[in-house]
Amino acid sequence: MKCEEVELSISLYIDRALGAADTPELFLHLAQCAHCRSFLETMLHLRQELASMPEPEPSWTLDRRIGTLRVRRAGMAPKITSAIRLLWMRRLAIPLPAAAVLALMLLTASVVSYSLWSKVNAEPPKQEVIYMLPMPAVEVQAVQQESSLPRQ
Amino acid sequence: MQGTPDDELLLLMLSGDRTGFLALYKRYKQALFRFAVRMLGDREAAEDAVHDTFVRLLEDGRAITQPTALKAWLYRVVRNESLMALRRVRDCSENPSDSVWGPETPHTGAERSEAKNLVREALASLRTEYREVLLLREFEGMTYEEIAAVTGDSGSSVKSRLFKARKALAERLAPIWNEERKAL
Repeated sequence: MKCEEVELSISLYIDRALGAADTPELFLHLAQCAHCRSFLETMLHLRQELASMPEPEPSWTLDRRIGTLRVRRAGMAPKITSAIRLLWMRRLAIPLPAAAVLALMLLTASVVSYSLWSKVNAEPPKQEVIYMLPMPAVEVQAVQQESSLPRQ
Repeated sequence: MQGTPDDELLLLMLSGDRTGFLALYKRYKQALFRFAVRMLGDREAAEDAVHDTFVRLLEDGRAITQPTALKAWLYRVVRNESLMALRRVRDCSENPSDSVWGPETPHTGAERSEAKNLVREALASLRTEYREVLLLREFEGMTYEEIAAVTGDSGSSVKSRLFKARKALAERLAPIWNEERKAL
């Protein structure tokens, strides 16, 4: 058995994937070959080192992002395209305090604009109409007649 | 929900029940993130990959023909998302040679890192097709057949790549470990 083949067998052995028939042959070779024993030792040390690597933990923001996803009922909503998804989930995602401030600003702006609009479109004041009644003709004539009489 | 099998949770999710989806997320988020972050070497990109994987589950969950194969399906999706992210970053800068190592060799990484980070650096420097099989075997405890179902390769190809990845790491790290032993 060549060392190259034994190295492959060692890789299978540490995965518990080496056939029962091949195992005695492997150990026979290991008993005679320092190079392959060293290889096995390195493989086992590598496995230990890999196992002792720290476990990476996802941040809470991933939970929050997943929490915003909606579960569809079978055959109801249309498929979200990846472009819209990216736009919605990443580009427009803002922190809660910022969203609250933005909502407050929008509310204030809408109140102010409504009040301005209502002033501009208010009804004009009503005009007063004065009806002038003509003096009775008789009375006018009488005055004229009085003025034409000779003074005493 | 802890003891509920994957296929029942998947059916629950497909019927529109949110708890089924969240239980699947809780069950797999850690493992998928662990795999993605070691594939990508970037926490934020890894979270994006995991997020997109669960979005895909919501969108294409009905396409999973065998609910018992959900685990392999999730790993396959997060692997593909990770590979796409790597392509975006590297723009296919990896040379198409037969080398086990990627653009940055572990030697250059090892020289500037501390001893405890040697393995991490070396692992990150493996070419993706070698790194992924090693991660799935060593950290996720998958069999060759399970790894083949994730990567879409044959079992013998997985076996061969796993051996090459281990041998490459051993050849890089053994001299350093030997020096450390002598120094002690």
